Amino acid sequence: MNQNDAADQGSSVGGATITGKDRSGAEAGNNVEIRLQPEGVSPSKELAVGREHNTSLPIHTLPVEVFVQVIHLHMLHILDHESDNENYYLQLIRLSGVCSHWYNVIRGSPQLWTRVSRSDPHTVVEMALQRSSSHPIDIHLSPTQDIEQDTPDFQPFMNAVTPHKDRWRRMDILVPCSWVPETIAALGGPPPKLERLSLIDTETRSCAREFDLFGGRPPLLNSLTLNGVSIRWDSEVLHNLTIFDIGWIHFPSTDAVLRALSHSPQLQKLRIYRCSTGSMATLSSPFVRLPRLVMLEVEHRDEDATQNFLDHIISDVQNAR
Amino acid sequence: MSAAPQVTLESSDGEKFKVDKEVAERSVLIKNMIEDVGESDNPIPLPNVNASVLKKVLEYCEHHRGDPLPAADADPSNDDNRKRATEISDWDQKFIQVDQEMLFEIILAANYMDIKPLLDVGCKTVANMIKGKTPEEIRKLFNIVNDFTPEEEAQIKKENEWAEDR
Repeated sequence: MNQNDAADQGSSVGGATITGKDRSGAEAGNNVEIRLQPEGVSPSKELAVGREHNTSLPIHTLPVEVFVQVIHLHMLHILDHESDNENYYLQLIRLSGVCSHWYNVIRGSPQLWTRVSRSDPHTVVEMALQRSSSHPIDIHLSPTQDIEQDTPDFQPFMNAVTPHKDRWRRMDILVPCSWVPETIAALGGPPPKLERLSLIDTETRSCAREFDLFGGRPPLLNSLTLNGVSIRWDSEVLHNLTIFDIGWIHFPSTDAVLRALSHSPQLQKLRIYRCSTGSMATLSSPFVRLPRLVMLEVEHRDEDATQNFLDHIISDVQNAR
Repeated sequence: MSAAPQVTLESSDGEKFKVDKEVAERSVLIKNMIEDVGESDNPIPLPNVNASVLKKVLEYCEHHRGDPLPAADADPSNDDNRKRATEISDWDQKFIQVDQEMLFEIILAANYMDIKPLLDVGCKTVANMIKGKTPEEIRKLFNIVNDFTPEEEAQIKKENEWAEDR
């Protein structure tokens, strides 16, 4: 019997019968049917028998924390393979409909409800915020409306998540360039536990303006992704990063970026993609030592600018480009 | 060259397995027991693991004896770990091709013996089994009976009205 064959054999529990196809599959072809056959058994008795049967199943011998890990891994797979994240809670809700045990475990596991996405209906956002209890939450902010509109409609969403600001752990923001100012303004001051921020201009037009994230006050950020959105290069938000990924940005000068990097000696991953600079580094520019670096990918729009930048980085890692 | 140090493990049904200490110490439980008790010729009892399951677990530990030990605080939700959410190596896939009863016993043993990589393989395998399946297909796969009362069904339906038009 392999992992898929548990239903192949009938079993009798408390007077009711769980039926399935026989080993040859002859009884019901490929249409395995599991049903209670409660001859003379009342509905409540039928349910009690079903629950007793379910309790004895191998999968339900797993401790709750292990079972939750299985569900979590399954949901991570969905996140990796869905083109959008709209199906996350749809899938989770569907899983909770397998039986009462699955429902109770899924419903009672805050770590499964920590994704809060602007693309979900407001009722789902509220549900996730409530069911995630006190766990850190991951916020996804992207437009659901016609992006040709001049102003974003983030306010209802921000109103819902802002009271939970002390739980913000990760934040992914994908907005058109024209929405960036209002979006950044809506973030307000620094979320105290924010670890990762990804701010992406979906039009990759490269906003010319430099923004002041979190009013310049640093959260405990260790991973920052900026794509088409530039921030003040002297901001403390750029300090103490371990992952820094930027693309489609025009630097005022290479020096400004080097100075920002000098505040992140723990940096492990640095990726600079399709950026340009107002002025290249000179002999008097700082040299930045990054001893923890394990990934380095630098590709400016101009090859000379790439080499110029790399000449001022001291690490054991070769540029991957 | 001196022989590698060995320890003896005793399964719940009394079978004894003599294995290299390095192999046995893939289990954090056993590693801690050895550290606590010190070197001893007495078998280490594993009252929650029967011989057939222990044999499989030790096969896994033997194959992975030289692997780096996982970080205790590895967060499965971070990007690097997430990409590997349901990936399983070829050898591990073949190893875990067992019937459901054995699969869940291996997972229970890995959890009890604190062998995180084996626990991950087991959990990923179950996660892969439910991939792309409807609740009804999952019930059939694990022989689960739909045990919701009509009232519960109605309550769940009400809770999830938002999902109906999606």
